[in-house]
Amino acid sequence: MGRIFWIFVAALVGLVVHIVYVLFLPSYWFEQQLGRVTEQQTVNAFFIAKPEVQARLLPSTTSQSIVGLCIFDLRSGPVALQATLPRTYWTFSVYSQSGRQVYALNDVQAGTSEFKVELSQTKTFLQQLLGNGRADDVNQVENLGWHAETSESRGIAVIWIPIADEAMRPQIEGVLKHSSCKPSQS
Amino acid sequence: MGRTTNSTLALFVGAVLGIITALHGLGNFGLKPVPGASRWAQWQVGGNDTFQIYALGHFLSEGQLPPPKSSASYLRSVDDEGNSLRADCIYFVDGTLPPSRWWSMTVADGRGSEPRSELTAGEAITSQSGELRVTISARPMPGNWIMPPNSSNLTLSFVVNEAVPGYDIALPAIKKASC
Repeated sequence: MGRIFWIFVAALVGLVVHIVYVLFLPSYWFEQQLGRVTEQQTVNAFFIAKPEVQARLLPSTTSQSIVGLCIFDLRSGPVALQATLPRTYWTFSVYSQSGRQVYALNDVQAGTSEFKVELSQTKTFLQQLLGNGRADDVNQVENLGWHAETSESRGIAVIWIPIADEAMRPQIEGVLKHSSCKPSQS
Repeated sequence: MGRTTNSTLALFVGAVLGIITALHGLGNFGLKPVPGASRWAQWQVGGNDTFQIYALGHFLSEGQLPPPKSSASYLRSVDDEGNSLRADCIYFVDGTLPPSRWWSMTVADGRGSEPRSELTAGEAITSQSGELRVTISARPMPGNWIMPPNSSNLTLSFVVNEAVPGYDIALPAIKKASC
């Protein structure tokens, strides 16, 4: 009887350790490694990733592409990403800290090569109940193109542009570098 | 004393089992064979797959972002006969152009670390009927050629971006030509 009890305890501990390990440690490790590979980049700022950073962060992309990144932190309020893109195929993705893609857009869906997305954190149930935090989005997103919400306070926005001809790289980078990512003025 | 020993042992064994199963899960549970193309596998990062959390965790623990939902990322490490892909062999990758806006093919060592070699939609040569042949070889080859990193355990990735809805993606076959 005693042995069965301790086997049950061991199984329970194993289950808890397994869940904690799978749910929380990968996000923690990702943040650590993200900090290491982008060590000279500030949060809430747009930058074009160096090839080695791109290869490390986005293994599904090839070197024949350009990647723009914004590591955002919404704890101090919303962040606005203003993208200036070439008239070619591109994708825009927003990932939360836990690796979930919370927003996606491409050139066809956007229908424009310039857009602005405001990123904000989803209000908690308590905030909604008490009416705390920011006023309704309807009033806040005036003059903004799109709005994306994430339940987590931190994440990363990724602009990916494949390039069919390497000779086009300087030109595309020249357009993309006019993009920005900064705390929203509202 | 016996009770303390038992509880310590139970905690230790439980923790070790939890870590081992978690590591195994992150490395394997989210990777599923592609239906109809069993040599190819795909990380289940999208949709509501039960093992999605393991697939996401796999990428994050490697310091990588998962592939976006707009792309389908396939990988395999064996040829059509089930043998491991090796850098000292020559392989023909035969298929048809995927109905998509962009695609890429990458050969890396088994751990996926650099250096890797690649071919993209922007540089591939295809036949008029849309057939595609890529040669994986350490020596230069005519046509579409990917030079593999020097490894006895290669992984081929095939990424299809923005596939046209309603069309099936026919994943290419890999035939060993010589070693």
